[in-house]
Order: sequence, then C-alpha cells, then structure tokens
Amino acid sequence: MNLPMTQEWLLKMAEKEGNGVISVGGLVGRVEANALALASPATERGALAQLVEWQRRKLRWTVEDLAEKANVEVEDVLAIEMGEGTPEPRTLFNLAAEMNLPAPKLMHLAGLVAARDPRLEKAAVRFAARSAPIEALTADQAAALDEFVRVIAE
Amino acid sequence: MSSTPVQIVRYDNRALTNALLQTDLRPRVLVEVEQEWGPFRRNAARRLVQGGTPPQEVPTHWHWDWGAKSQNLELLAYRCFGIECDRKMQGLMMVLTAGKQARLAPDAGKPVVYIDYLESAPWNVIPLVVVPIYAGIGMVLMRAAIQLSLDEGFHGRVALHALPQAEEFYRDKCRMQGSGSDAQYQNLPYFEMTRDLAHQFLTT
Amino acid sequence: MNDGKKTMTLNLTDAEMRVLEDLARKKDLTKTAVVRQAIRLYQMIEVRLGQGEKLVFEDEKAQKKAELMVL
Repeated sequence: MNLPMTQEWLLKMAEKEGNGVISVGGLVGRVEANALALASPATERGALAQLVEWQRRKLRWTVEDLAEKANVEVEDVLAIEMGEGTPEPRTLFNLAAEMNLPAPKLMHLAGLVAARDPRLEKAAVRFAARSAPIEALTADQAAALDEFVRVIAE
Repeated sequence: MSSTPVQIVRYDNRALTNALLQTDLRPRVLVEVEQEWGPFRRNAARRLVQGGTPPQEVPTHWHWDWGAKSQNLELLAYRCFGIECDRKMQGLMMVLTAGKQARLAPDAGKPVVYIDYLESAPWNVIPLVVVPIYAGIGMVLMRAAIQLSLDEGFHGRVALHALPQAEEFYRDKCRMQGSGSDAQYQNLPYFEMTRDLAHQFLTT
Repeated sequence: MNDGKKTMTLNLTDAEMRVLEDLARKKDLTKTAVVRQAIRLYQMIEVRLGQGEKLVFEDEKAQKKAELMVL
C-alpha cells in the first residue's frame, strides 16, 4: 500500500485528534469478551479436553513438557485437559501451534466463538463418545484421535 | 505480512517517529497484541472506577478482546491493519471490504470500506493514561482506510459505527458525515466518509 | 509489479457479461472489482451457512421472508 503523507499533515492531524477514545466496534452485547464466556455444550468442552490430552500423549509429552514448549502455564494445560474454566485465546493458539492442530477449531470447541459449526459439533460428539480414561493410547484411541484431527483439519 | 513505512507523533515532545503500517495482520498477531493491551486496559479502567471517575467517562471498550475477533480473518473480505512502533502495536483496525454499501448521497448503494473495529493502544488513550505515549494513531488509520478504499476502486468511501465516546473524533475531527443513531446496530452513531469528504481529509 | 496477483481468463455468456457490465456501472466499479466482490461475498455466505446461519431476503412491506440457499 502506498500511503503518501506529508509531515505537516501528520503533525496538524495528530494535534487535531487529541488522544481521546477513538474506538469503533460495538457495545458489550456485540463484542467478544472473555467475561461473556459463551456457553459451550459440555460435549464440545469434553472433546477439547480429550483432544489436547490425547494429542499430547501421542507426542509422548508430559503436561510440563507441553506447557514449556508452548510457553503457557502448566495450570492452564491442566485446566484444559480437565475441561475446567475458559481457556485464553492465546493459550489455545500456542498449544495448537505446538501440537499442529488448527487454532480456530480449538476456539470453537472452547466456546470462544459465537458462530456454530454443526459439522465440528457432530465430530466432537463422536470423538467424545469413543474416549476412555486410560494411561496409554490404544490403537482404537489413536485411530479415533487421527480421525477427529483429520476432520478438524479440513 | 506486508508493511508500509509511516510516521506517528510522540505526545511529549511532538517529535515524528518512524513506524510501520502492517497491512495484513494474521490472527496470531491479534492474540499476541491482546496479551499486552488487555491487562493494561482492564487495570487502567479499574483504577478509573476506583478513583471515582463517573461511569460514562470510563472508556467502554475496556473489556475488548482482539484475540476473539481474529477468527474474522479467515474470510477474504476482512483485513486487519496495525501501526507498529517500538516493537509494539500502537493501533489496530479491522475492516470489511465487501457486503457494506454507502447510505448517503451521492453514492448511496455503492461499496464502502467498513471499519468494523478500531482501537488505539491503551497507553495512547486519555483517560486510560494521564500522559499518552503516541499521538495521531486514529488519523493514520483513517488515512489507511481511505487509501484502501481508493485501491479497491471505492473512491475513498469509508463507513463505521462509532462508540458514543468516539463520536466527536469522527464527526468533528475526521469530518465524516453522520446520519444519527442506527437502530439496527445498538443505536450507535453511523458515519460515512463520502468521496468528497475523503478528498478533503487527504488534502487538509 | 506482480504484487502477488494471478491472472485468469473468464469465459462468460453474452447475458452474463451484460450483467457484469451493468453491475460495474451501477456500483461504479471495474469489472474486475465486481468479480472480486462476488468472490468475497460468496465465501462469506458459504462460511456462515456452514455454521448453521440462514440467509434471508425480507420484504418489510409485504411482511414476507424468503430464504436464499447457496450451493
């Protein structure tokens, strides 16, 4: 983009602007805020928790390993894997990057996005229904994880 | 990410400072920016409230979250601009380049660049701070919006809905044409930069 | 300067070209700009429909709503 601006113009306009509020973006009802914490069905939060835990275990990382690699707090990873609280967008982005998962889909599963994604919701239900709390990833779990990851990566 | 050299103004000594206008920010950047802006904004708002500032004078965007807005950038029609200086983002603007039309004569019905979100970094905003760091952020972003409109073939037309606290800036300082509160959008004041007003803005 | 842009040839019927030229005139855009707008809008509609939203035309006077389906 070519943006010609003389210094005189800039100084004059900056003086005119003052430094008051110039925000554009709507009032509370329209603007996303962590405080609003859109309700996400328990199944999707459960799918997020399972996805993060299983992907981590597939990579043979401890919770501490993942937290360090993703530059997030250990407590935040634990909370996500236990389906507690509402994760910060930054945490999800960092985890997604480290585990090669699509960040926008994680945001959906965490309930941080208002718009619905019916295909993702169905996939989350199927994935959550096939999960079970055991230590090592079984071949079935690995297959279910791979299938879910494939779906959300599309 | 592509960038264009620009300048902004230091508030304390009015010195011009080199900066970069980033013209295609990606979602991750918005998340990182919010990591810096969010706590600063919230703490500043809290201090104002605790200090007895009347509620209507506390900036109403204190709870915003650019990270949560970042998903819009999956769509071609959305673009996000930022002014980077001192290794920090000093202002952000998210625009829509399709789906919005001018409402005002003489170009009613023709496409506009619609500013969906715009914010100056909280350390540049009175009363979130007593002494801001940089000035001119809004004018440079408005200049960029007009240039984008020209580049898109929209002849400089720009539109937006301002927060009530920002109405004076868009009406009196940017000299945009207002059409009053918009009942379809939270009764926020609607403003348009017509092609003539855009030309005047550029040549002031 | 290429500026990251790609060129394509578009084969249109006479009727399609007339509509394109008419839109370009009404919107005061180049034909290329009209096509760009169409691509952006089509993507936006597709994504929002995919998220479960509906696109509806509303006739306030007749108090009618008609849903637009996009393939």
